[in-house]
Amino acid sequence: MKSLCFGTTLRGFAAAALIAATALSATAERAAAGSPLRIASSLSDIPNLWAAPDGGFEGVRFGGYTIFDALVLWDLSSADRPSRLVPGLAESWSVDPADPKRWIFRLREARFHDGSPWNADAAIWNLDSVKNKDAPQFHPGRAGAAGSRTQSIAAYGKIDDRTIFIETKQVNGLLLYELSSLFFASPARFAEAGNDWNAFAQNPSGTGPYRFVSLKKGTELHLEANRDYWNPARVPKTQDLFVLPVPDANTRVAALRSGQVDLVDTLPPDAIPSLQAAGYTITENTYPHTWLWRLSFTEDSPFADIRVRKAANLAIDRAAIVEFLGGHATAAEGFAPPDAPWFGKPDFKLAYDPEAAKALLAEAGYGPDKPVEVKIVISSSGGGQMVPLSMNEIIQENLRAVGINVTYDVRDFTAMITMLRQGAKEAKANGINVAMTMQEPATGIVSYTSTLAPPAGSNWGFYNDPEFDAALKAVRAEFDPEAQERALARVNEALTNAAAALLVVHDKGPRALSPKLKGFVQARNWYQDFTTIEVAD
Amino acid sequence: MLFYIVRRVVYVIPIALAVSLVCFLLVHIAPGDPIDAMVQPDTPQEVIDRVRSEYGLDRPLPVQFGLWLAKLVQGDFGTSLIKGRPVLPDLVSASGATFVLACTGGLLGVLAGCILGGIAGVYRESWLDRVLLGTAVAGVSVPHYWLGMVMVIIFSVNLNLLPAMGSGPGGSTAWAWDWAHLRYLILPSVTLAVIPAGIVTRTVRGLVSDIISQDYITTLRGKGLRRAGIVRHVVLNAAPTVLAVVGLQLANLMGGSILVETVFAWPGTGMMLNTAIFQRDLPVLQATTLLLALFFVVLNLVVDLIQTAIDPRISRR
Repeated sequence: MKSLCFGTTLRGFAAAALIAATALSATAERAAAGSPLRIASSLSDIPNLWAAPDGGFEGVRFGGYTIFDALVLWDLSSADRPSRLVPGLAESWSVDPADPKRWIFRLREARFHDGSPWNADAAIWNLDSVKNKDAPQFHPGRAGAAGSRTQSIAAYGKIDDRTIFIETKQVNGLLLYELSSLFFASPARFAEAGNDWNAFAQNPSGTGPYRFVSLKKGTELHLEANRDYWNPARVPKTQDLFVLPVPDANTRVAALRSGQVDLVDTLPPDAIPSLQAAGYTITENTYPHTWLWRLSFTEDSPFADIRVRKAANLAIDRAAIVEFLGGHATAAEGFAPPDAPWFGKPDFKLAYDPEAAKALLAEAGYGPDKPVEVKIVISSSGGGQMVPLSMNEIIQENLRAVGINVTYDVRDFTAMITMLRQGAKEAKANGINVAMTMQEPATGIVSYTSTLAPPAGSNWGFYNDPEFDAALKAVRAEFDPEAQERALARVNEALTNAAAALLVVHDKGPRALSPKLKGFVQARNWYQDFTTIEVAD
Repeated sequence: MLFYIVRRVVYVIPIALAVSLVCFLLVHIAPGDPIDAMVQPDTPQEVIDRVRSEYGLDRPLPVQFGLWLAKLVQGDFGTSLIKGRPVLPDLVSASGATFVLACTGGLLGVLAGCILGGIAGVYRESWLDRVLLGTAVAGVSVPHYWLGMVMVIIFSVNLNLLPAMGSGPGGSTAWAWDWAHLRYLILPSVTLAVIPAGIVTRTVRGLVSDIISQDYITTLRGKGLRRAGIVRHVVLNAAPTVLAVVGLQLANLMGGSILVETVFAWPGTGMMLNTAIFQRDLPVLQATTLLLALFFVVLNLVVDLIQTAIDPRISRR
């Protein structure tokens, strides 16, 4: 009995010591750090901080728009209206009336974090770093990462200290979208770093709303507010910003609930009810994301027949899938989200109508004795893929019910992206489930251009529709933003009416915030502005 | 003895070469193109081809392997395709983090395994033996991932006693043996310790129960040797086999438990390997697997040498 009491006392003492020591060290940590904003991202590492971030849109969100600026930026200030492009490092621009391929950009007065000036020389130096192989600042990795931003640029040059021109290969009214994530780094800091981009990435300098403080590889990026930011409205309200890469979704949620982070990006839908019950704020909004199957239009593919494509689209119970996703998605009504400014008025309505689907299949020569057999490449996970395995199981059941039998070829995400480049013939499949972005409206839909069939481009399914090609050409020829949106609406209508994909849902990108955060506005965009967030003590 | 050590060290060279070749071929045979992880999905083919050529990924495989090997012998582990920075400093940093976690987890597992296995062996066929053996089987069977999450829910979310993730305060990657760092180590190391604890428990239990039924132990008891003396004989006889098992377990842990490191966002080789696999970052994959293979080889050598020192019969063979 005595030893039992002694043991109990000892255990009690040890527990008390553990709690006291934990509390003490936690208090010391908090005191030292003040009230920073700590964000858990789903990246596995901090993106490259050399003004050409890796890690897709999330990499740009944390490693691009924080430290750096582009000539053109997104207005992320509203949750209620679609994001639009606004002046960034260029305060204004115009297209040469005599030559629609020549753009003139007037640069604003700004300074890099190291104090060196932002001007035409800095702009040209940056363009050389990704376009001019002979420039000492050229780096193949950076150029590759920025390749899709600069593909349409044919020439560029300085007009005066505050003005540059950019010439495109063809008339390209979408250039501003492409430039919205081409970031500008400080040439002075690059020189300080011994003309080495890797050294620059360890101590980067841009013109963005946050200055670099420190980087702990794989664990933490520490930034601080740039009080001299050229746009006073976007000077961060919280002095310190920490970005922590936490690839596991459950760990991100646990980190929020244990107080290690304040905001969780890319939230698993099933964690939301318990977080809400525990008092955490959940934000979400539609953004230009479409979860779909890209289809094969090759001769041997059943989807070459528009009746089969329409039947498949009418067989999907999108409401059930949205419900499965906890309501954190919007049922697709077209390629663009229904609230996008370029949605237009597609004639083909994506209703759930299995009977109409069966009728269309019968018309196309299929029936209970002759079901449609298709093979689709899907991934088990991946950026923008949401919950691919479960969602595809629901779709498989929906399609089977109308007479379309689906076999899945499950790949890991990178392997699937490689297959996306190779095209449907190489993949020997009838569809591929790679979600599409319409952030820069042409980014995703441009892959339906007939001249971009593999190996020339990423027209995976060998889609060939003159009406679509003409509509996209009209978009590129348009420079007025509102007229361009109307032209883009024709593109959405053309693709939706042709049922050019199996359209399922648009993600709402749920995020969870600690109750002590105020002021976050979740824009309808892949990118978000963290400068508005205040952290209560 | 010296000749034996030299011979074993020389063996490392063909093993390392074979491992490098197999790893190199495996990562090239696997579907997925590293360039796809580097560039945006809508990057034109000409840019992709140019990047591929600039990184030498368009050359024949034997040439690529030869170039990689030539750099390796000069101490150049290559440059990450995705991060664009040399692999070696990242690998050293990740190995350090994994070393701390693996050693702590391994030590906890071995200690628990030896104690529980010893007790189970001594009291074999009793209820205590069955309970301990059941616990060991459960330990081996429980998925790391699940156990890690359960511990996080209990100790981080509900009790708020220990951090849910990370390897040090303020994202610190530099390890220090102070409480501020140790509190980050507790949950992942206990999670990691469970499988080796189960395996060592079963091994020790079998050995101890076998040894104490041997005639010479009965003789020692008959001669009046005290309990401590008998324990010493049991330990010495069981040690070589236990060491072999412990060595393998430690090498496994050093390989970095991908799941445990991912669950706890521990910046070690497991997480590095996991990221490199998904990004097809060939130089990182090759360097990491080579280092881990060498670690296996070296640890086996150390175990062999200790076994030889403990059991003279091994060196006589």
